[in-house]
Amino acid sequence: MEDANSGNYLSFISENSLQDGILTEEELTNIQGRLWILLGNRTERFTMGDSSSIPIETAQELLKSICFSIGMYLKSNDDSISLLKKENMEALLKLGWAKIETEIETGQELLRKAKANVLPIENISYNDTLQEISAFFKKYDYKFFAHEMPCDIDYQLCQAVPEELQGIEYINEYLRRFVIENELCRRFNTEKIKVLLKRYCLDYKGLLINIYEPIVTNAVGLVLLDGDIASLDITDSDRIQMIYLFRKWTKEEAVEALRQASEKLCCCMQIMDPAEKEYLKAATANLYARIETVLLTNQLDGIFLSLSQSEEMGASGVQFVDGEMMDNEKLRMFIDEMSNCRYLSDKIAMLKQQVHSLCDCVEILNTCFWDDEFIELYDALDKMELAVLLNFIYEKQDESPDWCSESGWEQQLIKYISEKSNLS
Amino acid sequence: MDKRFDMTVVNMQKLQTAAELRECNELTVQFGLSLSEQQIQSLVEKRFEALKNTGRIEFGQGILKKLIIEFCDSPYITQENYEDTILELQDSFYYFKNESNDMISDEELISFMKHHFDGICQGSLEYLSDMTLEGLCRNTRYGYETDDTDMF
Repeated sequence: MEDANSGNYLSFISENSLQDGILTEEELTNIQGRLWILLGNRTERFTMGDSSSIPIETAQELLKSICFSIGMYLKSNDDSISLLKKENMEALLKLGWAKIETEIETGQELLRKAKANVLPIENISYNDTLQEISAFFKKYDYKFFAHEMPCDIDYQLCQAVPEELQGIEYINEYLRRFVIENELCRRFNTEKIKVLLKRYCLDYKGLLINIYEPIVTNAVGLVLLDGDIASLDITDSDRIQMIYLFRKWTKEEAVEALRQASEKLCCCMQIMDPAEKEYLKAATANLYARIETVLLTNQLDGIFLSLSQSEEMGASGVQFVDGEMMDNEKLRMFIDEMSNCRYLSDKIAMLKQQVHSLCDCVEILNTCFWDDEFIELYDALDKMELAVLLNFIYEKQDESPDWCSESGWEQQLIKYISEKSNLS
Repeated sequence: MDKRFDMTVVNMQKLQTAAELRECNELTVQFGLSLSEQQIQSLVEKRFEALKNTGRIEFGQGILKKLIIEFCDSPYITQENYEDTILELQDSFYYFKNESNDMISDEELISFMKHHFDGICQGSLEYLSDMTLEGLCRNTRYGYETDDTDMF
C-alpha cells in the first residue's frame, strides 16, 4: 500500500477511494484508461514521433512521472477524487507541472540559503552534495521524469529524508533539513567543530559523516552536566558523571531528561524557529538508544567526545593505569597508622601522598574512614579520582549486585555525586 | 497498472491492428500479396508476443502496417512467404530497436532494413539480422558512420 506522502499519491488515493466506496470499479477503469491515453501522448512527445514503441522500463518511468506530477497537484486539493473523475488528464498534468515549478523556485531559494550558511568544513560529501544539488536544478527534467533526482546526494543528514519522497519534494525536504543543521552548527566555533569532528572520525574530511550529530550530542551532554555548551568539550570525568546519571535514571526519566536538555539547549542557543526546535528534539530523542547500548560497558567515550584527547588515542577513551601496590606488611602498618591518626585532614593527606594503587585505596576506604569523614575526603579528591572510584563501584556491582563495603564508602560516594549533580 | 485494465487495452489494440492489416490488403493486392483473416489474427497475436519478448510497449498503431507498406514491393516477397517474412521482420525490428538503444527512429530502421533486404541480403532474413542490422546497431551505439558502399 502506498503512503499519503509517497511519490505515487495518485495510486494511494485511488486505492483508498475504491476501498471507501468513493470510487467505483468502472470509474477507476475510466481513470486508468485516460491515464493510458495520456501516457501514449507523453511517449509520442518523448520519442518526438520517431518511435511507436519504447522499452517497458522507459514507459514505467514516464508513467511514474505522470502520476507524480498529477499527485503533486491533487495533494494540494481537497476534492482530488472528483477532479480525477471529471478533469481532463492533460489539464491535471499541466496543473501538476505548475505546482512543481513553484516547488523548484522554493528549492532554489533553499539552495541559496544553504550556500549562504555553508560551514567552512572540509568534508568532501558535504561540499560535493551542495554542488550536486546545484546541478540538479539544471538537469531536472520534470516534464518527463519529475519523480527522478538526477544528482548524487552523499552527505548523510542526522535525520534522513523519508525514502517515499521523490523528485523535487525530496530535494526540498533535504535542503530544509540541511539548512536547519547548518543553522545550529554555525552557532559554534568552527575550530572547535573541526577538533570535535576529528575526535569523531580521524578522516572526517573524506568519510561520509554527519556534522550536526556529534555537535548536538556534546551540546546536549553539556546541558545535562550544566557545563559550558560553547566549549563542546566533555571530559573523562564528565563522562563518568554522565554514566552515573544515566544509570540512576529509568528509561523514561532519561528520555525526559534528554527532552528537557534539548529544550534548554534551544533556550541557550536562542533557537526560535519551530522546525529547528523539532529537529533538535528528534535528534536528541534518538540519542538514548545509543546511550542505552554502551551504558552496559560504562564506555560513553564513543558518544560524548572529548576535545582534549590526544590524537593518538583517537576516540578510544581514557585509560586507567593503576599504580604500585604496597606489600601486605606495609599496608597493615599504614592502616594502623591511619587508624591512630586523630585528624581527618592528616588522614586525607596521608592517603593522597602514600597510596598509589586503587586496590590499596579501596582497602583503606573500607577500614580507615567512617560516616561524615567521607564528604571531606571526597571534597579533597579531584574529579578523575572520584571517577575511577565510581567506575570501580559499577564494575563491582556488575560482578555481584549485592556487594557493599564494610564502611559504606560506595554508598557515600554515590550520595555525594548525586548531591553534587543536583546542586549543579 | 491493473491487469484487467491491461487486457482491455490490449484487446482494443488488437482490434485496431487487425483493421489496419485488412486495409493494407487493398494496397498489397497489386503486388500479388494479401493476408487471410487467419493470417491477420496470427500476425496480430505475434505482434504482442514480439513486444513481450523484447520488453517493449507500443502505443497507437503498431509497426506491422508500416512494414507491410515498405516491403510489399520487394521482389523477394511472394504470397507463399509473405506472412512468415513479415513476422520475421517484425521480430527483427523490435529486437534491433532495443539493440540500437532506441537511437534509430522507426522510419530509419524500416528504410534501412528494406534497403539491405532488397540489396546485399537478396531477400535473406538471416543475413539481414546477423550481419547488416548487427553492424548498424553497433555503429549506432558507438557513434560510427554506417558503411553503405557494399550495399549492392
